[in-house]
Amino acid sequence: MNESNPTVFIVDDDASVRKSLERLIKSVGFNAETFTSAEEFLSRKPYGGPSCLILDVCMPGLSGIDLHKKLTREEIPIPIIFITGHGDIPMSVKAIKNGAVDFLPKPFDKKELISAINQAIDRDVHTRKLLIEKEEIQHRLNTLTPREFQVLRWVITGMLNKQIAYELGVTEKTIKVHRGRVMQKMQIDSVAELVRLAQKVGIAPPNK
Amino acid sequence: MKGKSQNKSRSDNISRTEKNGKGKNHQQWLMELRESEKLYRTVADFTYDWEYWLDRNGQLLYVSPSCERITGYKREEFIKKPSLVQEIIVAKDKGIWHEHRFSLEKKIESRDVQFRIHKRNGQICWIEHVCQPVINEKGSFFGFRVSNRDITERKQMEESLRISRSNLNRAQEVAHLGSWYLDLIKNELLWSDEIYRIFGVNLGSAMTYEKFLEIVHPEDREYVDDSWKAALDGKPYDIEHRIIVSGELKWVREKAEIEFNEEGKAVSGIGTVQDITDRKQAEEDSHRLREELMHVSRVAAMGELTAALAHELNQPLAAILSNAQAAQRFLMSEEPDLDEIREIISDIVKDDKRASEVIIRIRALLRRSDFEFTKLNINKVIEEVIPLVSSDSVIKNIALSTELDDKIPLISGDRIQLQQVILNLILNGFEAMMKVNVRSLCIHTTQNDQMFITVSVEDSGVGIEEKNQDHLFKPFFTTKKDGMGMGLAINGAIIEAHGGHLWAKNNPDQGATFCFTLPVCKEHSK
Repeated sequence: MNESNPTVFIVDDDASVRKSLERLIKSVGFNAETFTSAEEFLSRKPYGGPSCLILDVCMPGLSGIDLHKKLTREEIPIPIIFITGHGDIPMSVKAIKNGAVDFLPKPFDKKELISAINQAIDRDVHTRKLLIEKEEIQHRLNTLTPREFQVLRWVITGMLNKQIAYELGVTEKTIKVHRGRVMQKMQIDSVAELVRLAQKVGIAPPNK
Repeated sequence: MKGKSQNKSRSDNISRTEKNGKGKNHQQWLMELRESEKLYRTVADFTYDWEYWLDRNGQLLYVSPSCERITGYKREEFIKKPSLVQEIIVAKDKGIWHEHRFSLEKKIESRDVQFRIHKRNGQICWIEHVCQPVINEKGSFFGFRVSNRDITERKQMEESLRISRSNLNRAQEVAHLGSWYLDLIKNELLWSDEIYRIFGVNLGSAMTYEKFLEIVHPEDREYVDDSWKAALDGKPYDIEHRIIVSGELKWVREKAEIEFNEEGKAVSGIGTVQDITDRKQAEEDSHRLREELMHVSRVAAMGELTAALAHELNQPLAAILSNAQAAQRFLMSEEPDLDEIREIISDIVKDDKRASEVIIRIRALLRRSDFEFTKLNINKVIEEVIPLVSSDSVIKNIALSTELDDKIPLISGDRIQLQQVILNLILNGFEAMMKVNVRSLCIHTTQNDQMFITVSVEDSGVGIEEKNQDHLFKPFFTTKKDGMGMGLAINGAIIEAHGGHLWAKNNPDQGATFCFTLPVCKEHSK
């Protein structure tokens, strides 16, 4: 399977539903892969390209809801479209709040499904882009010495070198050198850019 | 008055009397006359009844000594005081006496009346009083010869007969049960009062078998007549049929026995008729009520099932829609893959059938119907119920399983009613497990013996509290917040109607088991 082509994973215990969804999704040009249970899906090796998951809520063994929780816990960010035979509104609200892309009561129209799949794939592409970016930032961060990382955290608070030197009990000159190295290693020119990168990877300012 | 000749034979006396008219001497004649008087006096004195002779002026010429036996008063007392007769008559009957006397004054003829007297000892005695006018050869009236007979015993018997008749009549009225006697030779039908009342015929009207048949409901006439003819051939006669009484319908039960003569010919019939209209009405009411309750409970069970059934329908509908839309996509391409489309259409047909089967099953369960007994394999009955609850069990995270004896003999039962019972027991089990973590429900079938099989529904729920054990199967008993309390009561009724029994027990470890027995189909209990 070409991993650059978006792929839709289908998990449903009902054979008819599985087969019909696979046909429909393939007919509009996506890759499709089916699984009879949540457990079977979990045993598949991770997929590299953009993808989304069409997940039946009620299944024997691990339910769709359980699988969603497990994926969230394990930080596997695949977008999920829930499908269900029970038009259960409270359950759908909860699922959306927990990050599902959509919640489609069976039987659903092709338009609803394709629109949900497109939305999910877009989200996945975006997520993947963010992830790659984050990995790259992290990669640069890994080149910093502990002292440089410490200075970085003070710099993003917007403090002057003098102030940082006072906080760390070193000379202003020393801070100036560390800051220069940080900017060079992170391949940026401005403090504003540094703040943006730090936010992306979730670096917080030091606690006083 | 008593003489030596008293003991003389009667033939002697007669022979003397015959000689009488043929010129005997006066002395001899007087003697013979005295003898004759003695004879008749003796006859009169030894009369059993209290006799007396009243002359034309109402004076007592003679009173027989037996008056003492009957009244306690001596004959001298009556002779001395002729009004004593009137005085001892009880106050209430004095009117009878006066009327009697008055009528005799108007016309001299033989008459008899009955009245009561106070005996000397205070007892009351019934007297039959007969007055016979005394007329001589020349036709002159010489007063009345009166006989008073003690009829107390007869009167008492008549009274007790009257009481027993009236008791019987009242008992028949209370029981709405009458009795009849049919003389087959004369075709004379005798009815007790109650039958006249039941049949709305004027009391005492002459009846025949044909007149009876006219009152029978036209649709039942042939049946009644055939049954009666069969009874005449020696078959038992115990039937229920309708009658029409002044436009209203009544139900009666008839029983009879036939009497045969020595030649074996039926001569008479004796039987009973009971008005069972109220019982029939009650039977019909309770039948209707039970039908309604069963329907209500089925509807209620369906309510609980709605979510699960919606799922059963939505699955095939989802597949059909996706397949159909996929087919539309394929047809838009320049060279449609016809094999693929053919396969899609066949899948659509398959799923459509699956959906309609669900509908048929729901309809069957919701249908209101009388019991329809057919030979059934209980395993199949259970297997048809499982799909209705399997998705519900998935949602509720319940492990649903069956352990069915594949050599189970056939039973005779109503498929829908039994499915309702099984469905209800499963859903009860599901509900009992909502508060526990390990949720499993298993349905077993086993053959007990040649006669019965057992179906048991075993859950791992909270079990039955001891205080509820006795009330479990009573109507309107429920532990559910919104339950009606009819489920188990109706299940019990259905199983009993099948000749089985429904009971419940707690499991040794966890949960409860509901079991019911069903009798094995006779032809299969080898």
